[in-house]
Amino acid sequence: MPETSQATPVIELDGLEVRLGGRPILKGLSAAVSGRAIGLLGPNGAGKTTLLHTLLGFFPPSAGRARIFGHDVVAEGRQARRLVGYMPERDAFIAGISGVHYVRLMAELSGLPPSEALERTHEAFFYVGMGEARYRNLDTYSFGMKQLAKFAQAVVHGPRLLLLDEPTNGLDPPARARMLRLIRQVRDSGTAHVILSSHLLRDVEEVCDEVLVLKDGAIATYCNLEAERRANTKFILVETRGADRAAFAEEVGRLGAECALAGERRIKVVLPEALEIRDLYRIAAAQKIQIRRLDYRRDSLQDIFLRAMEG
Amino acid sequence: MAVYGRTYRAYSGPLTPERQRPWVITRYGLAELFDSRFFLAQFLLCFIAPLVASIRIYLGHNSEVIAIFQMAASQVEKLLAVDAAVFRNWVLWPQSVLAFLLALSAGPTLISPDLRNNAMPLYLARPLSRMEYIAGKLVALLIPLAAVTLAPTLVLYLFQCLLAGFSWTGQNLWLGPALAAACLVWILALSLAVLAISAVVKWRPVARLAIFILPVFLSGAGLILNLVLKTQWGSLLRLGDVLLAIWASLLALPLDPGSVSPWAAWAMLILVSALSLLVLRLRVRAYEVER
Repeated sequence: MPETSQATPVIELDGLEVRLGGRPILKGLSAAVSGRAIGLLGPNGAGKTTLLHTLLGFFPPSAGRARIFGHDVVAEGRQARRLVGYMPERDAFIAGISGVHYVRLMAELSGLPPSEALERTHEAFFYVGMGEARYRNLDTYSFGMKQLAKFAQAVVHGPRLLLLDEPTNGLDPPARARMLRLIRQVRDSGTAHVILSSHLLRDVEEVCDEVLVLKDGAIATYCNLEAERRANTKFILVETRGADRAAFAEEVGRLGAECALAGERRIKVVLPEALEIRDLYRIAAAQKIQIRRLDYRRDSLQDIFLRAMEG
Repeated sequence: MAVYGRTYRAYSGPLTPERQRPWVITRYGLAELFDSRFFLAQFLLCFIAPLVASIRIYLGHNSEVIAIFQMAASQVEKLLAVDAAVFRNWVLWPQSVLAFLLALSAGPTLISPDLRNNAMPLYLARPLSRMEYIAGKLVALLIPLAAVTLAPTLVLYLFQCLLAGFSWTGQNLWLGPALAAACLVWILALSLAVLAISAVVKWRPVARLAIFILPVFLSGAGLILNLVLKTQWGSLLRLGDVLLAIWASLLALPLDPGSVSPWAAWAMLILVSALSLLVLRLRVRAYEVER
């Protein structure tokens, strides 16, 4: 595999625009993404799959550029695709052949010599936990097995960038957990970057360290999840009943805490070090307010996503 | 990835040159074709006609057999003489029909299953272009077709050269390349057309039906055109007539009265091949954009 500099971003988008059937799908995307695992989030129709397809050279940009490890996806599409493994969202198979035949073909097309391709194919099937089913015809695979076979063909040649389009779609909870574990292992191997396109926030939260949120074909937000988590102060979400909630918040605020009313019965409280939980109960008792529930929370990916969607 | 460790590891071994990648498609395509017993049987049956033709050539050079006929040597020589017309009638024509039948069963198994099962994104996400994919599939079809047309034709030509000696060979040196061109022109146009039809009609049985029906329908339409408009241009729709005119030009054979002119036949074949390539280019893509 050709080497690329560590400093080169995994993906660079420079005013990328894509029009399909005359309609603008991606509208001037600009970003330099370099995380180990990048989540591509957005509601249905936001342009996630179109972005992946553009990176693979399936759709030509109508304006701007996209690069994978510094290789322009149009001018140097072949070099860019050498570094990529792709797992499509939809069923994508070759009818009437066995799992081994299917993955080996894909390995050979990626440049592995036949003997190495066969060896890696067996390894890939054992890696995804389908060693026993590898000689079965693809047509006999269950949906979950087909997803794993698609994953096997995407990793068999050891790509430097793995593009996964909704890999957990339609999987039951154990199969989903297994798929996410496999993706995490690829990420943690340190040899491959992962771009996970999904509308399932939990999947992205479990796997990714960076998130690119798309909305209506534009970038709504791009953030480092870990940095975001670190930056977000831990707060207490207090659920109350009775009397005047605002007066309670004002009283707590007077003692140095930051308060914000959240919803009908909730108050977000960031306590200073000098203040303890028992102080909240004391003030609540004085204000004749019941504290029904009290949770320590941080802003979740869902909060980040919702903020991006509102913006 | 290690089988026992079952963990992911990158690949750092050797890579094949990129110009060899279309050959992978060809190799897998051929393996799939010959995996079918029906195709294998059909392929082997295609060699019966050349076997008969080889007997025909052998008889023409065997004095003991000629003696059995109890005819004048000149008459027998005339009867069993081997020339371009004999190659056309005894080898090219039957082998071309058999090649059509072989393409009928092989063609739709090559591209249409990939299109129907959305396999194109998998191929094209790798360092492989659409034209390389098409070329790989085309060669996978051309190889068995060449094996039943080009190979026996050339073997029989060499057999005739061997038996007839230097005099005949010297006079007919041009015939070998001409026969090869006649075979190649047919199997190339046939393969392109068959792949194009199977790229449009993704369902295998329907694709086969379409490949079979289309020449019959066009032949009928051509005949009707000729009769109604009192012309010969309708023959351009008749595959057999087009092929005979092209072979006549390549093998320096006289044209049947009322047949289409060779240049028109060539133009028709080139047009069909170009259209087939265009259809393949339009149909073979990772995803179709809905407008």
